[in-house]
Amino acid sequence: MSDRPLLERISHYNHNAVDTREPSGPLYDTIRAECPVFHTDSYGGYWVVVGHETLRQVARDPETFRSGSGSMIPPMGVVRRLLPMESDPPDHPRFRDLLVPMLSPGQAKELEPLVRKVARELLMGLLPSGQADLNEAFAKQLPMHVITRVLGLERSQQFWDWTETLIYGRLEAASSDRIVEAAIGMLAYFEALLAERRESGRHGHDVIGALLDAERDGVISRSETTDLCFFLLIAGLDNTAFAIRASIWHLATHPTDRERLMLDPELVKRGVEEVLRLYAPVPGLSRTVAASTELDGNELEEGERVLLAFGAANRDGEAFEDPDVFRLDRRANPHVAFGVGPHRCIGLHLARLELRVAIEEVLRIMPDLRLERPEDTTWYPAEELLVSFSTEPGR
Amino acid sequence: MKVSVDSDRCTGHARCADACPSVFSSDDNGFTVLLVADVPSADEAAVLDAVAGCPEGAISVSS
Repeated sequence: MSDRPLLERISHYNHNAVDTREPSGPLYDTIRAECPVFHTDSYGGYWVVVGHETLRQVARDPETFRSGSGSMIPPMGVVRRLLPMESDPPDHPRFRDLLVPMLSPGQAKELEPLVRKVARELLMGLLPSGQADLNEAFAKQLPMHVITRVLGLERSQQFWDWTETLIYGRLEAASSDRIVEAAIGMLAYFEALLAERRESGRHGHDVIGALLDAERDGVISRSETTDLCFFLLIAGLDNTAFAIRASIWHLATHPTDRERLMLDPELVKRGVEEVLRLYAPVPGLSRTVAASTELDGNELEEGERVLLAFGAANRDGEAFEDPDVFRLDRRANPHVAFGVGPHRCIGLHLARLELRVAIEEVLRIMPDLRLERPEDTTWYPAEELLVSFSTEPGR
Repeated sequence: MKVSVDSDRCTGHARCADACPSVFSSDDNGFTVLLVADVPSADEAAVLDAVAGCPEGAISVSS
């Protein structure tokens, strides 16, 4: 057995901590070599799965590993379930059957002209000043435009304020009042909007319109409509913005990759997958054990939680050659940034579209962008991304 | 080379349709539809990429 300090660290492992977010190095080497399924006592205790194949096995078994008791560690603490993520059969397929067709590849494709137009306008608008925080002014704005259009909402900075409080505030124990306030604010907003839409009978041909149709048909209840809207907005904003920011950071710090992508735009799709693999926006989500089971030689008890460590699994050397290297020659990239199995991310086609267009337009309009503070800036956490660039568009 | 898709495992990532659009297509819900069962030799490499790249491991090939 190896290093005792490392084994100590493993028993207190926290997947949200800044120092474990990059899933490589001696700690992860030890975990992968000796205990790819291990238990940590953080947040009241949970198991962690970092192996790609084991993660897929767990994610494909919703009977044994359930989501209805919550998928986030630590939980958001808002009492309402995050739907459809925190549901199991028979409810879960009911939500999926409704939502998946609304967010299909074809639906995403129809949005491409809008996504490109918005991306260009945002970037061209920043160009004259020669510098910008591309997190606030671009990475966060593009998903705001897209998810509000898809759902059928007017854009509002308030959505970002609520989302950031709910996602990041939960990592700061002192914020529980702020979290409850944000949740109440967002829920009240949706309840008012939905009430107005029901009464007016106006059909927006958007996701909210389709949810209200389903509600009228008795497929979902009113409170489920609210919960679905709540979750879709948060998920559509935060994860995509994180990935867009990480893409730009990678382009700014890896000139060889940037040049290759500019010379061969067909490679941008592979670049998108490598960004998702290496800089997975969601480090992990959890399941709850429904009945005692064995996993990789470990006895898991009913009620225990199991974290599917997507980011770590994306660096599994058994699944990926040179796992920590961004390689544009990877032709097969079965990363699990979007999860796998019945709960795989519903927004993935939208997310991929936004990422591809974001990278294409940054390369087109700001090909020479450079970080203001390269030594202080990395892909995690998703803070400001100060860059400077020439005031003329690239092409 | 023959190709098949386990429709119970397919959750509609559509990586295969990206890897080899002449063999794999997506239905309205994003789930995979095979356009052919016998893979043209020109597409064999791309189909093997699709097999390896499917996050669900839902695609198999045999000779």
